[in-house]
Amino acid sequence: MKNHQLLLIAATVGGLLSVQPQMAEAAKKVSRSSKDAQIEALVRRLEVLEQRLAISEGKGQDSAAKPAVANVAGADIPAVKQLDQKVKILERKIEVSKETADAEKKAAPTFDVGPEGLKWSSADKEYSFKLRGLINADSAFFLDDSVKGAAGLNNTTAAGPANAIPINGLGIDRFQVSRARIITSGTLGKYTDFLVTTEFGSLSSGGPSVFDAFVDLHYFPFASLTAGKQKGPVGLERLQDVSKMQFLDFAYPTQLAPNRDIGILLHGEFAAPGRERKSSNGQASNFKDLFQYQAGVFNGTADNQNPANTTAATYDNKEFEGRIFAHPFQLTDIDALQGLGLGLAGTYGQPKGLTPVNLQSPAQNVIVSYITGTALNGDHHRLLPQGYWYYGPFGLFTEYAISWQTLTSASSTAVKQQTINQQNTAWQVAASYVLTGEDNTYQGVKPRKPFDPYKGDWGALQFLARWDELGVDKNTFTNIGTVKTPFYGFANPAGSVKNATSWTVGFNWYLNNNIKLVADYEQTYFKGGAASTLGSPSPVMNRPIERVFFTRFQVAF
Amino acid sequence: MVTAQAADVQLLNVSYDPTRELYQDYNVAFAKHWKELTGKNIEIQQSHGGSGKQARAVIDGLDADVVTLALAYDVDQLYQKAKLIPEDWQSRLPNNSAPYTSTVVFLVRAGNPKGIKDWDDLVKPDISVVTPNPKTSGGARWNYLAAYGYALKKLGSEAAAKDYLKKLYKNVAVLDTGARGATVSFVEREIGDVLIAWENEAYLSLQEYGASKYEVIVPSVSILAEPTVTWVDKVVSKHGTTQAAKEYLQYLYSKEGQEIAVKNFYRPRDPEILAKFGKQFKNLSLFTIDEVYGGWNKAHNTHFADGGVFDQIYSQ
Repeated sequence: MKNHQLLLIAATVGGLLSVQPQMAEAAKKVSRSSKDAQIEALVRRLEVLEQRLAISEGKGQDSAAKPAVANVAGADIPAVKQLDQKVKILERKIEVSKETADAEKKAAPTFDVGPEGLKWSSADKEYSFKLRGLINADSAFFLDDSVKGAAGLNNTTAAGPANAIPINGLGIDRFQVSRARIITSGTLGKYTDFLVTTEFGSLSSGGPSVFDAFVDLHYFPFASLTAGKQKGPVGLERLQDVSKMQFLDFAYPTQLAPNRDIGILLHGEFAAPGRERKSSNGQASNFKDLFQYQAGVFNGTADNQNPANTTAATYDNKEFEGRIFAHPFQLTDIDALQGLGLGLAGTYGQPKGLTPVNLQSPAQNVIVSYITGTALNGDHHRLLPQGYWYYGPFGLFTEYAISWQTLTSASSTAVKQQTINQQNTAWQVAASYVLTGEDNTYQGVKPRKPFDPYKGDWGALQFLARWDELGVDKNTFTNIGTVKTPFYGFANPAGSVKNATSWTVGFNWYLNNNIKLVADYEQTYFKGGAASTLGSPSPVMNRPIERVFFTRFQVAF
Repeated sequence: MVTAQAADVQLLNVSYDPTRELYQDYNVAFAKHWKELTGKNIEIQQSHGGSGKQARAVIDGLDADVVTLALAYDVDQLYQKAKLIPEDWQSRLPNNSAPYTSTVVFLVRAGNPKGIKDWDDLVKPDISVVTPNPKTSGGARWNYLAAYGYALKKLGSEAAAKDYLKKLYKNVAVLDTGARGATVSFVEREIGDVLIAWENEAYLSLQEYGASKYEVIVPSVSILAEPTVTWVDKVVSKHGTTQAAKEYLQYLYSKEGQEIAVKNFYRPRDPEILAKFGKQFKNLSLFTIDEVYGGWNKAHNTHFADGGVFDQIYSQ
């Protein structure tokens, strides 16, 4: 018999036995309900017993409806006592069933579906498994398509364009799914987390790629160990959860910071004395406390290396990466400065034969193209001071990057290989303001009123502006040939820019915690990177201005 | 919990439900003894719950300096599952590390209206029995093994003993999840004619609910229940409490420790104390787990593991 049936029976019969004046009335009500034939049968049996009891006590039919027995359990009638026992047993069985069900519920694994995806957890929460996802459905439209092949671009002379403008203009107008990620993560035995990110979007360079695959042992919050493929602890923008990045594309400093790499990382967090820890895990993207550090050893990657191509070590020497970051004003009560974070990150390595990776414009056009045969051979170190300040709806974000690297040139039968020290720099300053008043944070914007037009709720709207710049070392364009027969062993100034400056404005519309619409306009000015055919050798000209309108429809859970 | 001002040593005793009162008394006596012995103050915290659950809590990280559990099987899990104690833990203290014992008896209503005198009476058709579920309760396992051991001795074969158990559990009105719940069913909810209980629990019920309402019936044969104790080596080593933990358990065997056990209705090991207070414990034939079942592990695997004898007789 099911519990609710037992409950009905027990409650009904128990009530009839113990509440004397209302007994007959209650019995009639239950009878009228006709919900359960079993209840009716029991009630009838009870009424017969009550009549017998009344007759045996010489009180006649009238008193049968209002039995005078104070406690039927104490009545000296075996049948009544038997029924009383049955009722008590039924009631107790229901209690035990409930206790058992409650205990089983407590011991049962839980399954949650919410803004943060799907989550299965063991009853003690020491084991969990999360399934999350990210989709970036993007578009990019180049505003200068209408002038393709025409005069007027700034790498041309009056005679016409220096280089043939591609048939599609300065870039192909496109829709693309830049990111399509499945993220699985979990906890194994309370102190061990794991995370695997598989990329299926266009950033995966073809087939699916594993972007993250690491295990994090976090017995002590101040000293945790992460092993596997993970983001290098260097770039502030790189370390931010990609679904929370404010602009559609990364700024130039992030291209000079290492991307994901394979290695081991020691990291820790410290809350301000007297304050509770606010970070929910040891990931840099979620850091909210006073001070954190990271120090790791990795295989080593080139600047702007796609993590899809980071699968194995290519040389013996390893790269050391480290970072410290603090919210120093958490030691004070100055409210406006609680969200000020400052940090410094750096790397050191000595790659051997590592191929440098081309650098790109915001629209993903190659703007620094290394000559085939160029390689990183020798010291490579980076320094990235970084910081942000978030206060209420306002946010300011800045990062500077210097990447020093030793490059060996391509060579030929005519020229000897040469070595240069290259020092590339990049910086960005970005400001944002949440027009709907929500808090602006490194961990993103959470709309107070998720999009629901029928209620007049529209989510959160954020305005953003950014200025960023890339400077490429002049040594990069060293001619190791002759004046008459130049040979650019590292990068040809006619194809690679020595400077790129971009400004961006945009809006982010957060419909809810999972859906974000992004619209950015970005304009980039280049120095160098193109050539005129009017002279010999061809004089280096500036590339045309890149004007691009981007959109993104993001789903992240 | 016994607290002393500015305790120099702290111990956590992880125990099972029915020993709450025993250790409340004992901790006071031991704190005094420890002060006399070392000149230092000691603070002893108690934790009580189902014996199996308590063992799992210690395995999962509860920092128990000592465990005082209902079953040697539960204590042994500390070695089997987590190596928190050595394999030979039971030989470190006298009497297989069981400083006091008890047995399984019957609690019936005043006047014993159903005339229950021995295990045979529990399988009569009109008897309503209360005992907890041996799948979930350590105490219930003692009850089950006492009944089965009696049937084996009386009826002579395993098949007959199983048949006896089948009849017995058919008479069980409510199969509570724990010993405390079974007492609630019998005493507070007035369910059943007889509660199968530990002797100390039965006498505590008399004390708590009124000696005029119930009677303790001691059967002719029952099991020797041996609650076992040990210090948890890895924890005491970490806490630096090895000496205090050992002394805490060894003092259970002292005259004072044994008298406190008697006051809480446990049978003492010390012959002198038994002689002094023996009148309150009725004589009966007692068998041990080892004698009849070959030890706790074997008993568990045969009777209480999934698909074991209990599952067979109860699902039929």
